[in-house]
Amino acid sequence: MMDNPVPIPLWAMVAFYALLLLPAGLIWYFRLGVLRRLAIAVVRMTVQLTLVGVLLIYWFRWDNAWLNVLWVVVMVGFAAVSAVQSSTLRLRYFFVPVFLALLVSGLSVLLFFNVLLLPIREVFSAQYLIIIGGMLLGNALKGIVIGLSDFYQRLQDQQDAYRYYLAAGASRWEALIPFFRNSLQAALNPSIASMATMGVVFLPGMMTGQIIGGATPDTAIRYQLAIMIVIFVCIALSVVLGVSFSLGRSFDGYGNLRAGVFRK
Amino acid sequence: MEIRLEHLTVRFGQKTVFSDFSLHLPVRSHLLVTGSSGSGKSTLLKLLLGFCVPDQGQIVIGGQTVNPRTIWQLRQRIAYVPQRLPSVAGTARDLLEHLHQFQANQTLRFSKQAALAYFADFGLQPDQLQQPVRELSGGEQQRLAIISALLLQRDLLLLDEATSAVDADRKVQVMDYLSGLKDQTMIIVAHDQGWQADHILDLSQSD
Repeated sequence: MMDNPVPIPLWAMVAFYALLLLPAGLIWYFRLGVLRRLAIAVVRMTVQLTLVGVLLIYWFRWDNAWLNVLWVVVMVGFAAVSAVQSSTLRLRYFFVPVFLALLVSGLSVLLFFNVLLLPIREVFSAQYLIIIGGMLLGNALKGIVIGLSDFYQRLQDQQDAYRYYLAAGASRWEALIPFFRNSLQAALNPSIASMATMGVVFLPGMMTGQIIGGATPDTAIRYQLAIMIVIFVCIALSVVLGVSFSLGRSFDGYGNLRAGVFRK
Repeated sequence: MEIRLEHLTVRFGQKTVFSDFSLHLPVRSHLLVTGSSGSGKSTLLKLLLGFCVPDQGQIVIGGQTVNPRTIWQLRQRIAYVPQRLPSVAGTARDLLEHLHQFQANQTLRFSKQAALAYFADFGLQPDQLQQPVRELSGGEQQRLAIISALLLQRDLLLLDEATSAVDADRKVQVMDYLSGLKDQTMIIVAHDQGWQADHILDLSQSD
């Protein structure tokens, strides 16, 4: 239990990649038409993770607080682009609000997590800032995609309700509250569901990683509980901030949703 | 509220809905707007509510030019009755109370008695106040929309096919009631016959 993780030799990696031939064969046989996308995704995953691995070697070696924060900021930038592009929303309108929302929510929750756990001089250490930050952002990204997409899509689909409230004298925010409530609910629901089934239906990734890495189940579980809570807080914060920050650009002075908000 | 539309031009892509269109509606007068589909009847109401912005010209309501600074105050003096009430969760009472909770409407205070008095005027049963909006028929929803507009006590009433789903007998009663409101300026967009108005604008003929 307390051993270091078993390294994966090159031949075993080749075998793992070979395993992909099985789903690839199914995709080809049933003509699902996603073979090319799968190939691109696997190549991207391999290249991206290899590059990150190489960079992490240096970042861990230098372990400079400023560089670590820079890593998080760059990670937030990639997360913001990825979040907006995986929705139907236009990057030009949403990059800045999503970037700021993820940065503020991610960094504040991350620092809270680290300050509670670590001696003050290690709060910005690569091991925690980058790794926990990555986990937080990965999850906040999913939440903000769901939250923002739901908010703007519902608003467009039910524009008559929004306008009815405006026509009855509501401020923009008052007219938007019902939509905001729904989007926050949609963003938080998957996390609530996964918290409820955690440990029964599946063993979470962080815990699995820690146990393989040599931690005791006791420590791994505490980390997992803590990370689930901060992830939940981070999703809630990032959706609230993401929607709030995006309002200024997405509406005209009359309170009308701008036509350019959605990609064609 | 006096309304002036001055040399309005409104285009949607290639289609010109209004071209150098002007209109003057004196205070407390009623205007009936008719015309075929696509002639710009609903657009006219959207322009007054700031949901559609003209390409050229200006709109003046109660002496104030409609622009991003004034529209929010102007909407607090307008009541709008859409053809169909939006699909909202909750009961009729929830809807009426929700509208009264907006900051701008808080001085009005929701009164159950006033609501029930309107329910009686428009042929709705008192227990329908507790009925989910989605369970009301189209005609009942339209009457609820009219009641919600009247409860807001606005100077300008905009009705967009507000009685189209109301059954024939009741329709006359609703039209007579609204036509009798002489303290409010009213713009009635309608296909229905039987509205009494001071002025009639047929948009099919204006070009």
